[in-house]
Formats: sequence, C-alpha cells, structure tokens
Amino acid sequence: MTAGLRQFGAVLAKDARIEFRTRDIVYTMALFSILLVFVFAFAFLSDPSRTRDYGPGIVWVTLLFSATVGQNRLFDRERENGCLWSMLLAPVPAGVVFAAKATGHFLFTVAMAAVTVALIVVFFDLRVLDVGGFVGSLLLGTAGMSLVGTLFSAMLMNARMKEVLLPLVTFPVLVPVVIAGVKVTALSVGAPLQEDAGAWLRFLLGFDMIFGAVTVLLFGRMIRS
Amino acid sequence: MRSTRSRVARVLAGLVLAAVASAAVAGTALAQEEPRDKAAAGAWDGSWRAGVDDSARDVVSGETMVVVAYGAVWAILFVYVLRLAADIRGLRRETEDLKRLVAGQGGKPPAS
Amino acid sequence: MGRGWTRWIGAALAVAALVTMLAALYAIFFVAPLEMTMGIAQKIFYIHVGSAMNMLLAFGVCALAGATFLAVRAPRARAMADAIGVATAEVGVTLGAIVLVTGPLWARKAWGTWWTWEPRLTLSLMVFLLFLAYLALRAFAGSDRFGRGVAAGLSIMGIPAIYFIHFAVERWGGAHPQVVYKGGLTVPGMKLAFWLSVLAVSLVTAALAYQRAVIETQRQAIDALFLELDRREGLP
Repeated sequence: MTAGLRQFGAVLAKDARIEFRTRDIVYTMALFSILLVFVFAFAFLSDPSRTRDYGPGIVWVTLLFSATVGQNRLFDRERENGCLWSMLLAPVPAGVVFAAKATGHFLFTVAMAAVTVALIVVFFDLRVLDVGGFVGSLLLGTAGMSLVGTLFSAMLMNARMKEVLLPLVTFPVLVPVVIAGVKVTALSVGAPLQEDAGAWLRFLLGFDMIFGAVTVLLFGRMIRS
Repeated sequence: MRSTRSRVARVLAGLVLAAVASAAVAGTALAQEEPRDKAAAGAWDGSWRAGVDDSARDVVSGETMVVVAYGAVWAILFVYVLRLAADIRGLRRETEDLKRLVAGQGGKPPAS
Repeated sequence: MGRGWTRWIGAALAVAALVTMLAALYAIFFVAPLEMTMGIAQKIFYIHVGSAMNMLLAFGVCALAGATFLAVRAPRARAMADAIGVATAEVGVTLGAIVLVTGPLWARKAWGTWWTWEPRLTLSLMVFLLFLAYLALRAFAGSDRFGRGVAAGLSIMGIPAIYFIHFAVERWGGAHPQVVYKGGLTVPGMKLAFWLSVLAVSLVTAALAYQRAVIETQRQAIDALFLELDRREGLP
C-alpha cells in the first residue's frame, strides 16, 4: 500500500515539476478560459439587470471547455518517445498511474479555475451567499471532469482527430455533472430555485465515487486491449 | 520469497478491488438518496412546466402528428435496412477481391 | 453469404418482425379505441414506448458486450462481444432516432411543446448522444483493437445513465407519463395494441441486430483472411 502511495507521489511530482517549470497546461487553460469569459461577457451582457442569471451557467461552460483544453495536452509528454508505455511497463499498477495523472489534471484545473471564477464573479456581479456550496460544487464537479477526461485523453492519445473526439466522448458522460453543478452554483448565489443544494452536492459526490471506481478499473483494461 | 511477495500483492490487489467496489456501491447509494428526498416535491428543477403550454396544444392537428410520426418510423427503419444491404454488398465485393488475390497469387491488384 | 442456419435465422426473424409489425399497426389503428383527452395523437404512444424500451435494452446489451470485451482474453469471445456491441449500438441509435422523432410529435399535441428539459427526456438524449459518440469513436479512432477497447469502455459509462432513466426517474418525478408502471392501460383494446407493438419492435430490433452482428462477424473473418494473406505473400 505504501509502495502504491510512493509511486503515486512520484508520478504526480514529476508532472507537477514539469508543469511548474514550463507552465504549459495551466497557462494555456487559463488564457483560454479568460478569453472565453471575455466572449461570454459580450454575448450576454445586453441586459445588465439579468447578468446574475447567466453567471452559474458561464462558470460551468468555461470550466468544461477549459478542462477539455487541458486534457488535450495532458498526455503530450507521455506520447513522445512512448513514455506512457515505459511507465506502464514499470512495476507500477496502471490504476496508480491513472490516479496520479487525474489528480494532476484536477490540481491544474483548480489552479486555472481560481482565476477564472474570480473573474466571472466580478464581471457578472455574482453575490456568493453560500461559500461552502459554491466551492464544494466546483471542486466536486472538477474532480468528475478530471476522472472522465483523463481516462479518455489517455486512450485517445494517439488517435487521429483526438482534439475533436475527446469532447465528443466526454461531454455526454459529463452532462449530469454540469446539470448538478449549475444547480448548486446557482443556489449558492441566491437563485430562486425550488431545490435542495445538499442533495445535488451528494449527487456530485456519488458521481465522483462511481466514476472514480469505474475509471480506475477501466484504465488498465482499456490501455492493454 | 518471490511467492510470498506475489501472494501479498494479490491480497493487496483484492483489498483495493474491494475498496473500489464498495466505493462504487456507496456512490450509487449516495446518488440514490436524491430522489428519496425529492420524491414529495416531485420536481427536477421546478421549471420544466414553464415549457408546457396548454393553449398551444389544441391548435395543432393530431392527425398530422400521427402521419408524420409513423412515416418517420418507416423512413428511419428503411434507411437502416438500406445501409445493411450496402454493407452486405461491400462484403461481397471484398470477398471477390480476396478470391481473386488467392487465385492469382499476388497477380492482379484488387479492384478498389 | 454465411452458413445455412445463419441465413435461416435472419430470414425467420425478418419475416416474424414484419408480420407482427403489420398486426401491431392493425391493432393500433383499428382495435384500440380513441383516447378521450389526447385523441388520435395518443396512437403515437404505442410505437414510441416500444422503441424506447428496446433502445434501453439494446444499449444495456451493448454495455455488457463492452464489459465482456474488456474482461475476457479469448480472441473468439472478444470478437463476438465486439460484433454484438457494434450491432446493438447501431440498432439502439436507430431506435433512439425513432424515439426522439415520435416523442416531440406526441408532446406537441399533449403538452403543447416539442421538448422540455424534463429528467427522462434529458437522460434519454444523453445516452443517445453517448452511443452516437461510441459509433463515432469506432469510425474515426481507427478500426484496430485499441479503438474498439476505448469504445467498449465508453459504452460501460452508459450503464449508470440507463439505470437512472429506467428506475430512479420514477421517484424523481417529472412531466413524462409513466403509463405502464403506474397501471394505466386498462382498456383491453389498448392493452392488446400496446403489447403487440412492444413485441413487434422487439422482433424488429432482434432481426436488425442479428443481421448487423452477422455482417460484423463476416467482416472480421474477411479482415483476418486479408491479414493472413498479407503475412504469407505480401499484398501487391
């Protein structure tokens, strides 16, 4: 068990160090998401009194698109020189490699989201009443996106047209995350919905647990098929 | 030494598998709790009724809807059957190519 | 093409499907009485529900085939699971197209709107898109074993969605009527038309899926022969 943790830490540290030195993924994701927010601002700001209604949706669309951009880059280094195969040939369980990569993507996306969501809060004048629900929904939702996205970006690493195929494959699976996420975020900024934020948060947690189990199990199977 | 290590590894793998499986079951249970809480309210987001427009339903003709619906069903099935037929024709052609290749022993190139 | 009995099963299924379908149509339009509040538009319901049930069944079988493909090592079993997977996915998407066309036509008359973001509709559209992505993956990510493994993994992700559409939505509420489970359908004529339609669509599904699986198996065999020939002679 401790060996697994050490291996997990090693893969994660490797990714974090590369990312810290080059800042490839976080920079491209953050820049992309900022431009996206900028575009949305002009798409929806025609009626200033209703900007708050659009805020939660824009948060989640931006998060989803930027996470996908990050996933397209996530396995770039592993593709060169067949590094992923070497990593899997090493006596490290495939599930551990997957967990480390997914955690890396999760951390990068959270770093990016911290900037972007702050921008949206400012631009769209969101009043966050329930900070716990707001942050919790973003963290749980991002975790779900990272799990599903990392699995398929690893699988499609060498595929033709992977930039198009990746969202094609992940978006249908992630629809429930967006539905639940938008609801909790909207409730936490005081939208008049007849909903129970706690129930949707539990739903997100359940989604993360189900897909955490499914993706960890599938990764090894799929990559060796 | 080797065998005990592999046995330990197998036990560990079993434990991890059990943990993962119980996480999946617990996740299902968690996701399930949602409807139980909301059953009384009976609402997904409470706003779907916004789309239901009682005044609009009498304007349209039910006959047209039925004709279009059943027409679409036949059309969709017909298109799929045509596709299957095209697939079968393609397979026949490939079989012919294969036969020619085997007979000619690498003589003539395939037609396609 | 193919061995004798494969052909016979395919033909028998096709004939049975056609005959039952005609009987079902007769029952729908000439036996079942006109529903009082919705009028003739209610007749869409029979084929819509039959298609929806079979769509979920086809996607469920596809997901199981995907799981088998990833779990089993024997090449023959894997090839079979692959053929069943692609056949059920394609037929399921075809049925999904029927469901998504007939549903709004009924809803326009019954609800006065084509579409509403109600749980069962949303989730059905979601699995439909998920299995469209499955077919896209198979078409574009290469026909090699690897692309098939990825597609098989994706199909497994449909299981939670199918589960939610089928069971959990009942307790979640929503606008979608649940005639069958809530014990509607008391008129004998309607009951007959409904169950005949379900049987007819099931037979159509079985006939199409069987034919598609046979085609896929033969394609695998031809591909294997081409590869073998290439290995021995070197293709020109």
